[in-house]
Amino acid sequence: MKCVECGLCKGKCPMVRAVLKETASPRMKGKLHNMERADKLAYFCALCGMHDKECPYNADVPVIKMREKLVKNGVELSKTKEMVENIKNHGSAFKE
Amino acid sequence: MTLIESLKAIVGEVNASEAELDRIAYGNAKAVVWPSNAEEVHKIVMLARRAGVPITARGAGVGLRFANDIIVDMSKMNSVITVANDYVEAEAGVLLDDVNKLLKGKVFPVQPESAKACSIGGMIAANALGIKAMEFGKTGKWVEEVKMVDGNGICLTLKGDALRHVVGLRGATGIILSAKLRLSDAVERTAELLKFNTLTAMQEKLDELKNDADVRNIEFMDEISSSLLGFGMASHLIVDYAGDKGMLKGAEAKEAWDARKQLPFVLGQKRYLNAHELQMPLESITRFLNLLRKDEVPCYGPIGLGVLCPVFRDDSSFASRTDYVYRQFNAKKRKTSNPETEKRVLELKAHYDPKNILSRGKFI
Ligand SMILES: Cc1cc2nc3c(=O)[nH]c(=O)nc-3n(C[C@H](O)[C@H](O)[C@H](O)COP(=O)(O)OP(=O)(O)OC[C@H]3O[C@@H](n4cnc5c(N)ncnc54)[C@H](O)[C@@H]3O)c2cc1C
Repeated sequence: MKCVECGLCKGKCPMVRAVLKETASPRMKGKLHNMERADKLAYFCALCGMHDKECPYNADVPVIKMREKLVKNGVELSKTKEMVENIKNHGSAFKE
Repeated sequence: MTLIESLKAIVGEVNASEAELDRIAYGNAKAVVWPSNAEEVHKIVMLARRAGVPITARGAGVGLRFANDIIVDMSKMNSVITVANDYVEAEAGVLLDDVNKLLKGKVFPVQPESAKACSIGGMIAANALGIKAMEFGKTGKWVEEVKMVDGNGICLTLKGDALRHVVGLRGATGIILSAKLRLSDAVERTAELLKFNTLTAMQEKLDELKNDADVRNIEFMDEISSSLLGFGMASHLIVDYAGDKGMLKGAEAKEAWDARKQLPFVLGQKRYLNAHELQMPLESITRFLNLLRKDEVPCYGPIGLGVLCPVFRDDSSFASRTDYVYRQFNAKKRKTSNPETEKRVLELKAHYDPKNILSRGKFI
């Protein structure tokens, strides 16, 4: 099921709790996904799974798929690029 | 200075935005501003007043749909000020769920289905209705005091009768800064889950229950709702009793209510997402339910209060003729503006917001 944009997942989302802005919410990601729009905002997610757990409608906000699409289109954050390079060269995202 | 520059001068660079993504997130708002204290809210209102720009306060945005204004998101005003034995005082942006977690042996008795995300300010402004509405009423019944900045930029404390000038008015008279809410004891109720094969039998039982002094709540679930919850294909009433009268005690009573709490979402999963909240004259209920049944429109609600919520799918043909049907049954949609409220808001606006900058277009 598509996100119905009710916002009930927001209360427990650690990103929303941290920045206290709707823009950071899973609902916003659901909205962008519904608009078939890929945006770097998909990286602004802790991938903790809380929005899936909290969604009373069992809707799908597929953040990983949204990221996959971004990567395929060459849209990455400098930090994620750096992490990928670190994994390739040092076997660890943090060069350790 | 442009408007956005002026807003940034008040709240700081990161707390005002007209960036596209922020505007989309806030329902196509023109700009969004995130104040952190009363002083900033006051300055935002004064700025909007000078510029003649409409602004709309927002809590968690679980009820607010339209924007097209400057949105004042109250999420950063999220401090719980006091938790006392019989009241709690909190800033408007505090989530009800966060208040709930702080209470021991006491409860805030109005718990809407959106309880895990809605804010205190949003609940007061919408006069939200909770799950056991017959016993506990709406949010307004539990509000002791509200601090707000009105449309003149004046910081006011409203108490007693004056609370009617803010509760349920969706921010049209002022931006709520904080509120003092009364608490109730966490009382346990016994309950009964009653099954009916005919609506006539249910109506008879309802008449009997209405005269029972021990009855605290009566909640209705139609056949579709009941069957989705696994209760079987028949209409049901959940009845709450003070004392020992109900067969379901403790965890069993809670289980029946927990199932009911899940109902809007179980219906939502089947694409029944558009709920109307109707105030029905009691004598119309059976006839109205028969009509919904014919069109396979599920319905539930605190029937003991005469409130029913039919729920429509996006593709429902019934949904397009509801206004006509509701008129026939003398049913009033609760959250729709009507001439009476508009007249009252107009009178209050003359005093609290003569330039009509707050929640413009919501009522007038
Ligand atoms: C799935 C779902 C279930 C729901 N269940 C219920 C229910 O059981 N009962 C019920 O009554 N409602 C229900 N609602 C509607 C909504 O959740 C409530 O009205 C809730 O009180 C809104 O709170 P909020 O913080 O999200 O407010 P918002 O949605 O942000 O705002 C609601 C209104 O209040 C105004 N407002 C918000 N904050 C302030 C402030 N600080 N000062 C002045 N005005 C302000 C806004 O301008 C707006 O008009 C439900 C909504 C959803 C999506």
